Amino acid sequence: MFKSNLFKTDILLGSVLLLCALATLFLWIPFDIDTGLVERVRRRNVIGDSLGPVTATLLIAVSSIALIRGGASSETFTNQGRWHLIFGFYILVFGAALLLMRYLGPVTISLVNEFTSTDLSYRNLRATWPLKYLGYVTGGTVMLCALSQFMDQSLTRKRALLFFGISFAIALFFDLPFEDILLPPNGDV
Amino acid sequence: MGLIDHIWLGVQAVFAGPVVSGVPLNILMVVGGLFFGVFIGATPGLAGPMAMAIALPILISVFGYEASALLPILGFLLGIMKGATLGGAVPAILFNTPGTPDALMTTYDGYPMTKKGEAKKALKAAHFASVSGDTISDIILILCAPFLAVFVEAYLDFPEKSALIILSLTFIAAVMGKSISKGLIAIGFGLFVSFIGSGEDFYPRLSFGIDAIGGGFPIAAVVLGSLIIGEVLHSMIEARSQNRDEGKITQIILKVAGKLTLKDRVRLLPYILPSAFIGTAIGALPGIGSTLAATLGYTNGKRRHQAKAKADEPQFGQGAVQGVASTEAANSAVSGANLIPVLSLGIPGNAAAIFLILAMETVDGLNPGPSVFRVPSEGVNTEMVMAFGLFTLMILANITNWVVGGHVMQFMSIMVRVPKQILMPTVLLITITSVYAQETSLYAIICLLGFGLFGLMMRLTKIPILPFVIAYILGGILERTARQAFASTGADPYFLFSSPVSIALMGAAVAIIIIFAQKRRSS
Repeated sequence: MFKSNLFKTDILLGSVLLLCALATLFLWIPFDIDTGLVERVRRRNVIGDSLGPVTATLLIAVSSIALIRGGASSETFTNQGRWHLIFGFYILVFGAALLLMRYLGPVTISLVNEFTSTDLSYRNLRATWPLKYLGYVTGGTVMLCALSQFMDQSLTRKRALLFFGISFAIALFFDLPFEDILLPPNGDV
Repeated sequence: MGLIDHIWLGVQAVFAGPVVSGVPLNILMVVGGLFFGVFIGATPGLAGPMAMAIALPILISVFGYEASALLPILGFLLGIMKGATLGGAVPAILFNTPGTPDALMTTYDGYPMTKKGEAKKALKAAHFASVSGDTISDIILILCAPFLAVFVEAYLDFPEKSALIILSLTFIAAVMGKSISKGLIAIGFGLFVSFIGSGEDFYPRLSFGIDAIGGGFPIAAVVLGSLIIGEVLHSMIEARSQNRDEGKITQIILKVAGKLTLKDRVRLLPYILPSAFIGTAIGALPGIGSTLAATLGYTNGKRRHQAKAKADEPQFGQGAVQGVASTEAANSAVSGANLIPVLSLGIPGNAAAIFLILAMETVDGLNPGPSVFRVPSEGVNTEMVMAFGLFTLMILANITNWVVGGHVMQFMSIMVRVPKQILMPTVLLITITSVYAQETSLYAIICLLGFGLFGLMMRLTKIPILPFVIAYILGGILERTARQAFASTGADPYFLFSSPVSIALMGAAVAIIIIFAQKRRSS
């Protein structure tokens, strides 16, 4: 599945990498590093901050040229070619899961404040049950379900329940025995 | 203090730590790590480095960053490393499914033995061979690493050390993956990422002026993201395209005939010993994995078996117990020997060694490299004490492995029944949680997932990932050494060619590229 003729040889990979290396060499490095290849500090010549990145980039550039030159005879890339779908799915799943982890608890507290006219703060309540697990377990369950669905191309209610249990078990595993460990997002809020 | 005093202090450091229920904590950590490692190794799809990756941030969160935390953390990681190799044989023998990639050759004879009702004998042979190979490898490590380190420290100055790191990186690029160009690209990426946010200037280079990047990427996020998250994502994509019925297995009853007698064990030694030395030699070279060691060990054993076997004995591939022993001795011998370049040169050779180096760099007490084994003219070299503490832990892990490893591996056969569709996402969530436990920042998780995506892209384009990680770890050291070499040679731009040794090392690096490139072209 996911077959594509676009990624037939290493030539495309080498070309993309070469372009990136050239852009890094002539744009990124000159504009984002303040010192040159060699600097004069206190009347002594020392290696500047640019030398390392320039060397690494040149290595990538030269290797990319070698890849392009040998590309015609190289093997086809791995056949999972519809990368834009894979990466789109990746960003969507992890983005949604992280957003849930980060904001579900604080949003819940805001809603509680809204409806009960209280002035609670998530930060003050983040170590209390069930708030300390709310974002993590919900985000974790969504992540597990989405990834399993991706692999299996189906998701049963039983498995979703199992993933809820797994997320909860992981939360307990990290939280109960280790006093100093914080679950996401409780170290950020 | 002399060498013997340091050795004795190292042994004491292991036993003198905190005590839990009457047992020194360090010993408990080794045993716990070993059990966990066998459990992980017995689970197809999981491997020792994955377990080490998950465990390391948790261990650091629990024990902290002080020198007193180093031995418990390393003890647990070493236990995992050794246990996982042993555990990998379990599903290979019982279900024809290698638990770890290097156990593939074990299936060739292990599974036919199981079908003949000799599962127990195969498991015992795997245990005997694995622990023997590991022990031999550890002895060679303990004997060789200090001398190699002393030699490097005595004879190599900064220019030569820079050249040595370049030679190691070149070698790793050449032997990993099918294309040297891709190996070198991976090295370039690793070096480049290590330079982001670092440097000597006030402005953190390559950071786009973003404060979060200014401190560099969290090391755990880069290493775990590219190695573990990338691998999990890749296996998810593979699992999606595979037939879901492929993994079904049949119930195996272990209570069958098949004892491994003392006579059997003695007869296996001519297969185990050469394999152990092959595995040790392979393990001592950075970048060559245990899979090659297992293949060479198996091939060597097969050759011997064809010449010496009796007519009624099964051939290799048809249930020969010697096949199981040859493979397991070789792949287990890699784990000890791969610490030779770690401890003597500070250069990690494989994924497991990367996590040991990561632990040593994160926690105080031991900076792996040639200076570790320098005997001081007065006072104590605490790093050498830690190194001998590490050796003591390895010996303890081997003793535990000899005594209970065989029993533990038989209990782990149940792990093969966990479907990948549950296992892989769970590993991913645990990894995310572990990194958060150490870094306590969602930024670290975003970096982790970003490098996971990067690792996936590298796998899809068949750029080897391990050279990237090794170059990332060595990038800072290489730059620091190069700066010192440049300064010590009076700003000589040709400092890498300033002595016969450094010229020889650089020449070897160039020769490796040319030889391997020609080899690949001709094949």
